[in-house]
Amino acid sequence: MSQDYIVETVIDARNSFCPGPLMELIKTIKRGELGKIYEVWSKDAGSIRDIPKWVEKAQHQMVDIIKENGHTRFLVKKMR
Amino acid sequence: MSKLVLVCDSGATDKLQTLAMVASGAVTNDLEVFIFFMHDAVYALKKDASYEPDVTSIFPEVAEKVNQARKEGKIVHWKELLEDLKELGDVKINACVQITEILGLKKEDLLPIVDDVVGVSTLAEQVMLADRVISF
Repeated sequence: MSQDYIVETVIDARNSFCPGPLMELIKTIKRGELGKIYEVWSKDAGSIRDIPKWVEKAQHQMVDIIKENGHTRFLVKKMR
Repeated sequence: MSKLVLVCDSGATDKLQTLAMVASGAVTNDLEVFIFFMHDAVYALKKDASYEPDVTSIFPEVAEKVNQARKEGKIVHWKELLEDLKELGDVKINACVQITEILGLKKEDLLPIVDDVVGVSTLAEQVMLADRVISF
């Protein structure tokens, strides 16, 4: 079942190897607005572990993780 | 905050890429990072470094595929990654004063990501304060 989210920015990092997707997400969230959702697309296998871990450490909210069409979408809400 | 010291004396692109990647892992885990470049690594920090070697490997397939990935922009360049990390975390990048002076360079001749030109005494001081030290 898919859910509609209002996403502020989508980062297509499917063409990047580690640590590209995570670094792009971190940069975007750092510059982003509180309360907004930011999404990164990644094909990198390490992202499955690294992104949720960073989100937890950085005290943001992991809104959703959606696997589709050979990549994973990570939706993160900036909480601080 | 825990501290990691990274030391590199190689100008080999694969070593510098590895250093930057390790630094990125440290930053995403909230570690403070002190980086010390020596010897060839300082040359690689020159603003006008005219030569950047391809990644090398004892396995030809590794070199071929990694360099291809670099050409296609699939791997963040170590200089760009370090620049990003300085913005995202507590990362200090230092060049060894000895090789800097031997090469007739000043801090202004090095990339803007370089915070300071210091000696090994400063490195030793940082090592004593660090939780871990990794050399490349």
